[in-house]
Amino acid sequence: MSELAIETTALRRTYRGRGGARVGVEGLDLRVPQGGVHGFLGPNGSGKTTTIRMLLGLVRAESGSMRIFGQEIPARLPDVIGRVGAIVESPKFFPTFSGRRNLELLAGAIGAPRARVGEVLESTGLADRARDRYKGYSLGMKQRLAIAATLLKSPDLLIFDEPTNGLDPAGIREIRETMRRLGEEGCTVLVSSHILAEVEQVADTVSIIGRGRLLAEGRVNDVIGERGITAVRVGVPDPAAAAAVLTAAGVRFRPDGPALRVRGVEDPARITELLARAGIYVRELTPLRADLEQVFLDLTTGEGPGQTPPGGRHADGDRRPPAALAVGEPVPAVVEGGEPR
Amino acid sequence: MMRLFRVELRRLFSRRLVVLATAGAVVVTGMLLFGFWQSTQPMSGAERAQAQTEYERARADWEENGEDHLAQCLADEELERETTGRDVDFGCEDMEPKKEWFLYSAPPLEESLPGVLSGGAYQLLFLAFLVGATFTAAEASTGSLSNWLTFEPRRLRVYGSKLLAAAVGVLPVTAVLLGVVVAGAWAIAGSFGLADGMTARDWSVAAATAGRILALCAVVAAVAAALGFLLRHTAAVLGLAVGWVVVVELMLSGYLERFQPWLVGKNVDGWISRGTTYFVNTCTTDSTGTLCEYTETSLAFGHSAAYLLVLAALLVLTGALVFRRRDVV
Repeated sequence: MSELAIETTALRRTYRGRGGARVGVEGLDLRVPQGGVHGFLGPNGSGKTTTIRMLLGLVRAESGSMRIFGQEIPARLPDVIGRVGAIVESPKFFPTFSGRRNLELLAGAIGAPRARVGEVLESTGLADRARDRYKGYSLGMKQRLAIAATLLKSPDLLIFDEPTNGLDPAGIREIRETMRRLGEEGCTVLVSSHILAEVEQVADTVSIIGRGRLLAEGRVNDVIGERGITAVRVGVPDPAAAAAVLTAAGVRFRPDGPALRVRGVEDPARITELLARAGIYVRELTPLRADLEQVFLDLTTGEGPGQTPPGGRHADGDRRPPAALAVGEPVPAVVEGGEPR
Repeated sequence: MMRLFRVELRRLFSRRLVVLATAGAVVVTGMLLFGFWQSTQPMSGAERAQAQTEYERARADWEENGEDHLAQCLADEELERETTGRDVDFGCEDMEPKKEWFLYSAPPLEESLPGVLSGGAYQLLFLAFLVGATFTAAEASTGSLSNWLTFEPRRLRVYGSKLLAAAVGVLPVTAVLLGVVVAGAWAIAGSFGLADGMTARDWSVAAATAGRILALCAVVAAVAAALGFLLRHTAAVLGLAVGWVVVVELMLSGYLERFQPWLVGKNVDGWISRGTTYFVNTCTTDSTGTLCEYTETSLAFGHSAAYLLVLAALLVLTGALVFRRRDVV
């Protein structure tokens, strides 16, 4: 039995349009280990959805090979589809049918017992609204129904494509918890996302893709975890005095409103230590994480967080020694990072 | 495949548009029967008295001037014969007024039933087309098809099950509505004493016609479902059908009369009526000038059957080939 849930080699797909051929996926080598949650990270238009569609037989690959649980795709997809549940982009059901009706039809198509429909509705918290029309569902309910549909098969592999798009915070939290739970229950969960923090929160391993190519892969912490912290926001009662202390210590920073944005510090505790010695007590110390664009920039220019993660691997297969974050002006775009898992 | 087929049938009968289309067909069937009831109504007393008066007036005129009218007619006929060199018949021997010319009575059921069935056939065919087209096109346009394929990725099975469900799914409704048309026409004609002449042979001809209509409805639903796969929008399928009827069946056929055997509508007529005819304007020129006349030409039942079968097979096959290779998003 293959140790990989998903494996693609030199996968390629281009789209032809009025403006000529556009690369969707270009020589993608993707490896998703069995068990746990695997993040499939990339900006919009990087080829995530195209890859997922090719894996599910919805879109044809031009070249390359794909395997799910060791079975050649698309030739052996019918043999393995019973083990795969998937939500591609937004949930798509028959809008005028109830949630239950939609699930009953899908259950009928795969020969699942009707009782299973009630079970998955119950497990996704939709039992009370099961007889309502799908088109009347909120986005969160639609997403939950889609998850319920994937669970009809009792799958070994779940593929979620941007599952939190458009959801409110409660919905996002719920979906992320569901993915984590499914991963912990033994399912392999592949979640595609363009949100760095989301992948950090839910995934154990990650593949980063850009312009249809694999940029890096490995354990989340190794690839984007702490290396994603590019700056620290420091709140102090007297920014001018703090600036003088930091300048004297050779720390790079710039004003950030009433606070300071400090860069190039591997351990934020060093800042508190420096300032405390000068009698300045920190009242805010917020790690700022690089946004996805910056991670991609770093990965594609050979700098920064994606560089040679310990235990991780660059797309070109090189293993290089770990390097500190590249720091320098201009200050990269930053986002307030999500909570650590 | 059978499991998918059963699921697709359940989905078909759950569709609101199918229910609405069926309700619409019931209403149209009712209107058809109402029209038949009106056309079989006997003349009212006043109409009958008026017709009797007119008949007697014509009779009196014939008694007085009939010989002159006949002589004039025969002379005109002879003149025409000499002028054109053709054998012409002005029907002079039938000029004497007859009572049935004035006192109308509806035809008996054995004569009117084929026309009623043909009239009902077109609305049933439209119902089948609408149901088939919307069944697959709506699924493609809402994206539900891609979700479906993540449960059953064998596309030809999916395609086959949907077409089969569309074809089989329209049969119960069309069968019931055809039954209503026949039973309603029989009851209406019977109430006016027009159904007594129906023989066993007449009934078997009507049953065969109904059977052919049913079969055609099934094929039309499957073809429409294939078009739904191809065009992915119900409006596009209906637009194509309407465009074809207007441009090809109505406009071009007027200019290209000799191509009538290759028109869909003419072959549908040929299938339902077990053979049909079409008219071609033929002109001949001789020393007297150019004479144009319409010539009636037969279109064999076998031609229509083969034409419709091949056309349906081509469309279904094209849909299958396209769907098998197309990206579904």
